[in-house]
Amino acid sequence: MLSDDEIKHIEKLARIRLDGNAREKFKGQLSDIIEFVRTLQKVDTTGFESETRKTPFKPFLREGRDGGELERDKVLEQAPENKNGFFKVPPVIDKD
Amino acid sequence: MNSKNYETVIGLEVHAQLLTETKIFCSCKPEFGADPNTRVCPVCIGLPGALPVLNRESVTMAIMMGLALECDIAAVSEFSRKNYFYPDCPKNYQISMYDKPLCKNGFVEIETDAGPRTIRVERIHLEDDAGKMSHEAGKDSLVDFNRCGVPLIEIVSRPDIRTGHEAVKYLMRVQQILRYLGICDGNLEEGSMRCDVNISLRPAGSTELGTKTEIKNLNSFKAIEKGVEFEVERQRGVIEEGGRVKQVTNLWDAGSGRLVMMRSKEEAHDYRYFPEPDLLPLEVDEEWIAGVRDMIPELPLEKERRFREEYLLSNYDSGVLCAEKSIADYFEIVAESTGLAKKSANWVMREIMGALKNLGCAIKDFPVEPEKIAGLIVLVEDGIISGSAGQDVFAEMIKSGADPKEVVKELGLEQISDSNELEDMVDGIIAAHPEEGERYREGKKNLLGFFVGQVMKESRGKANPELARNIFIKKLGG
Amino acid sequence: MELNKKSISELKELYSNGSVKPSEVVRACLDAISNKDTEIGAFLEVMPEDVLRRARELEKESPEEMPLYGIPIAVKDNICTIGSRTTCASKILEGYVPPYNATVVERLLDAGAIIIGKTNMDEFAMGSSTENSAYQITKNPWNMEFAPGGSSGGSAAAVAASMVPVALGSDTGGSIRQPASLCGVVGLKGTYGRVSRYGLVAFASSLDQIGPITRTVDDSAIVMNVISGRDPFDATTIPDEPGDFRAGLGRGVEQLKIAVPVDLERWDIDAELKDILKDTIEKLEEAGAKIEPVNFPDMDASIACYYVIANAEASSNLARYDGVKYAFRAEAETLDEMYERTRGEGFGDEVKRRILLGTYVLSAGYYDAYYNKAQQVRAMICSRFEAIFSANDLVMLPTVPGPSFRLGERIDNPIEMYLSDIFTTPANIAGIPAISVPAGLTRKGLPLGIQLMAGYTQEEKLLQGAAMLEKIYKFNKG
Ligand SMILES: [Zn+2]
Repeated sequence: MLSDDEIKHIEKLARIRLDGNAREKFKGQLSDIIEFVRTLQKVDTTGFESETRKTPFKPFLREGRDGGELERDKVLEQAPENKNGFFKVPPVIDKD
Repeated sequence: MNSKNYETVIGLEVHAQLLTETKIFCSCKPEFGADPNTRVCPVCIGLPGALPVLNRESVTMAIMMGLALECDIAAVSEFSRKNYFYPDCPKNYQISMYDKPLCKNGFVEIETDAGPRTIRVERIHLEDDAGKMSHEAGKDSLVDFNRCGVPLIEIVSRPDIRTGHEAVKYLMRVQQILRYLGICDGNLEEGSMRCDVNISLRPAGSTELGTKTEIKNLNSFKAIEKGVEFEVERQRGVIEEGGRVKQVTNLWDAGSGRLVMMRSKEEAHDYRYFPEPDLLPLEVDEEWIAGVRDMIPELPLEKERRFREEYLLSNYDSGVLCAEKSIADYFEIVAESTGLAKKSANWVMREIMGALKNLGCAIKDFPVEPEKIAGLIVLVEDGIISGSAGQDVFAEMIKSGADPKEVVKELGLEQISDSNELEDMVDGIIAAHPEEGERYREGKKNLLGFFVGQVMKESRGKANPELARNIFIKKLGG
Repeated sequence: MELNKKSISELKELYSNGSVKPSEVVRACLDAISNKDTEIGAFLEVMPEDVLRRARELEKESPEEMPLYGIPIAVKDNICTIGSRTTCASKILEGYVPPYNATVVERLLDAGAIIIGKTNMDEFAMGSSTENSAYQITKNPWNMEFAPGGSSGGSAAAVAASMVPVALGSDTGGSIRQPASLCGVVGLKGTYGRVSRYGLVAFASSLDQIGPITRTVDDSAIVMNVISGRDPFDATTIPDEPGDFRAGLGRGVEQLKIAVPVDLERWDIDAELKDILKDTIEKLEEAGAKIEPVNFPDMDASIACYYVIANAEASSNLARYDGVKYAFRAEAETLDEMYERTRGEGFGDEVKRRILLGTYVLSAGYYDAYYNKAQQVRAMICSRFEAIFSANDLVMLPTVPGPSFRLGERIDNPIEMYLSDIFTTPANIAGIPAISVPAGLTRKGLPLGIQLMAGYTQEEKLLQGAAMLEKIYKFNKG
């Protein structure tokens, strides 16, 4: 079972705030899911390396330039807030 | 800088923006100083559904730096995601190489006041740059994504550096090499080259590393030297008072010349690196590496060595001339055209570099071509004009960019090297100064200078002083 | 003539002999939508005016040049369409209008298709019932009390209810095949890399594939012919040009080796579905196929592996929804509060659960035990499949262990919901193509589906086998 501190730590890393009730519900569900995926650890994977991501074909790279910059108005019109051509966010408060 | 009891251990992380035509994972063309958010596209601004595709040129440039620093180039390297939330990072993860960097195990040779040193380089890897934030105290912050996705190489040194002075020398060498390769303009103030310093202290003779702290925001060589000094003193103070150094990140505040603590690393940071699934592992074959090797120009140390051997220049002169490749190239054209290496070196180091400083311009924008400077040097050396007239001609050339011979003619500065004309003048001067002639003949040989001065005055500097001198000696006798 | 019920191949014929015009077909589909969709809830958005305008524009062109001339198509709401909302059925993307088209959308438009609207889905494609939509519930056209499956439930329901002949879905762990099975239509997921993901809002980058949901196997092949192929905007697309996916459709199954897992008994499979499977085996043998019993890769491990990898990638892919750049932002005084509240309020429960799980398995101390281990299991499953396909042409098994379930029945039991993906996730883990073909109805009138899988890039064989199943079941003909 996940502890309160553990779930709060994960919330913090994921920047998702759960309220008290939701946290209790999620703690149980997440613990069950973690229990479920823990079955993986019983699988014998001797001889299989995680890092050998198989590439049956040679990866290709971008060559040269084909444009693609967006007009600034198009970029900013979707933003919740903008100012003088910038995206605007609430103040960054340092927690130290 | 080291205290009696402690050794300072410094490692540097240098971030260099690559001068690729496009960003690392998209087709946007970066431009320093462009209007905010005008150099962005779905990929670099992290719109839903957009995907990165690696730019070949950025890999080529990274390999170039790897080869220049004698690194091993990995046949297969891999991008990972570094996950953290910050508004200047639109996807909230940076795409960077983590456990499989492109280049490993290189080194940089530096000259310090205490002699040559070799600083090992652990790795060089590719990553994307973040955007820029501006904060108004207590108010909202503003974000510009133009810089997002500009390719960076991060050059990570081993903790081989011992002093702030060495750190600066290392950085200057790295900057010089980046510029020689033409892959980064190395501008600390504009941030196209940035440096983070890791510092720890340990008891002298110990091989274990102490707890390190990091300094960011060092945007000049001076800041680096001072920041290191400041932090070493701070850490020593902590240790000497029996305290424990904490793993923190400090920002250098250039205004106050102090370090400001930014964050404590002992809490939080968990970047949850994992291989970037949108990109396949990067494969670099021998052919690619060989092609890049052919693109690498003669590097500073080689060039300095060659200048010493080929042009018989001193360590100092070759160091000064090779500091910038464009200066070295300029010098070589001058030296080749004059056939006079030392004279050419002096001209480039004093007159040309002095003029560049006064004009505040780079050599590529200097109005006088090296061939013309060579012409000027030859005019002086052949005695066509005097050394001081040479200065006047040079000044005029900077203004008009004209050919030195034309300037000489225009200003009427050609030396009088005609014996008959000079003999007439000398006769006149001797006649006008009988007393001095008498004393000269009585043994006051240093009066010769007075006579030559008179002839220079009368000729308004155009007399060939060597020739005039010989005529005086002949005519005054004694 | 009910034009909305025609297949793509039938419509192509009607267009080429000039008996109908695109605007008539489109009007029939729009009528079907307005008659049925209030109840079914397949569409999040329909754009009747744009659709009719486009249809009339197409009428100026020749049908012969365009493989999807005048074909109305519905697109899952996680595929970007310029100028029309793309929300992934999430509150956090409420009102978001992308400034670019997904590559598949560009390809469809170039081929003459008419995009008729965006379909409902589980939020960010996370779910198996389409109940996780922030906007509406979609009902199974066969019985309105039952779920259409998910996450491409809107697309499957739209095709099953003859509102469109074809819809695009996306399949990360079965999200095309499972709803296709539950709605009695054909759903195909190609080889990983076959169809560009550029503009598909990412759930799990190494697993996601876009594919068609259609009423016939031939239609599926026709659409795949248009949307497949290398895309310079998606580095994970397969560089080789695919062949003609229709090529094998009439070939029958003579000499094909079809593997059937021996241990299906272990799973709680619906009795009627078991009968269908048994009957299918007999009929395939009659048609000349060789049925081979095989040991299938460990499916429990496969689904656990799937949930670790998919959610790890999702936790990072969904980090960009932070209230800075687009769509929803919760009011807040500070940056961190803005992040936490925007994401806390903007994401639904299932999405939050998965992001938190993905964050957990990547976090310091757990990476090796979960993420790394899952990658090893993935490598193992891939190699098992390679072995199976070195001896066999196809694998046959149910798509889902049973028919659809009542709406609301599984919503509070995540693990039970996950287990309904037991037969579909292996194809995503291994990156191989798979298709669900409607096989019949239960006595209660709910559809059942049979799934075929083929080796890497063997879509042609897959469709060849699927065409035979279609012939055996005669599902959509009767
Ligand atoms: Zn861009």
